[in-house]
Amino acid sequence: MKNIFVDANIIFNVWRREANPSTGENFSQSSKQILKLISRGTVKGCLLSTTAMEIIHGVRVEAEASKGTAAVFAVRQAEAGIAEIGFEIAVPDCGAMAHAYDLLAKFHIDPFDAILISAAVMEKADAVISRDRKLKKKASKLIPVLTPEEFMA
Amino acid sequence: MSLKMEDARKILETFERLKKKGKRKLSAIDEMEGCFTDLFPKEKSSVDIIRENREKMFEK
Repeated sequence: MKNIFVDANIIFNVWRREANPSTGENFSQSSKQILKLISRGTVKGCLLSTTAMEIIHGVRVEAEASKGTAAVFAVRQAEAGIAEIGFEIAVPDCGAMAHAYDLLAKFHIDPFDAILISAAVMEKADAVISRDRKLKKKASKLIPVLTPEEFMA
Repeated sequence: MSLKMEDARKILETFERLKKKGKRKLSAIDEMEGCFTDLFPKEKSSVDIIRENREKMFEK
């Protein structure tokens, strides 16, 4: 069974029913297929604890800025959504954090991305699923960083 | 620093809320599509939103 680490933007693609702001390409559809593969148990989907934190933080920040949405409710909804997908929550250990520091220094990967890539490499994951082109450019030497469409192809 | 039993227990407890008890519904993924459509600015991509949030965190 393939083992993938999923970046925050993939989950947001679905929750926001997102289309590419420039081209109108439907981002949600393929990202949803990835989440369905995880939910069915066809692939092992890992969500790093720091990625989960970024998701929750992003939802809370927007909810606090919005007059209509209670932040507490939005965060609970986000946590329930993550739970429903069926991720394995991966917590980076000391080795992963040390490796992340190395990546930050050598490849100029930002701290959050460095931890994600490091944990995925150390878990011998098949790929990181992300639409972040900067991450793909910097980390592809270490592990495949694939869009949902590339993974499904 | 190795992972101690106490650490392992804390990790399990903390992330319990991100694990669903019982059987998951296959339709749940379809049902969650668009659940936060109106929460985020539509003109920004999720990649950009996350990057901006990171920058704000480091600015603080």
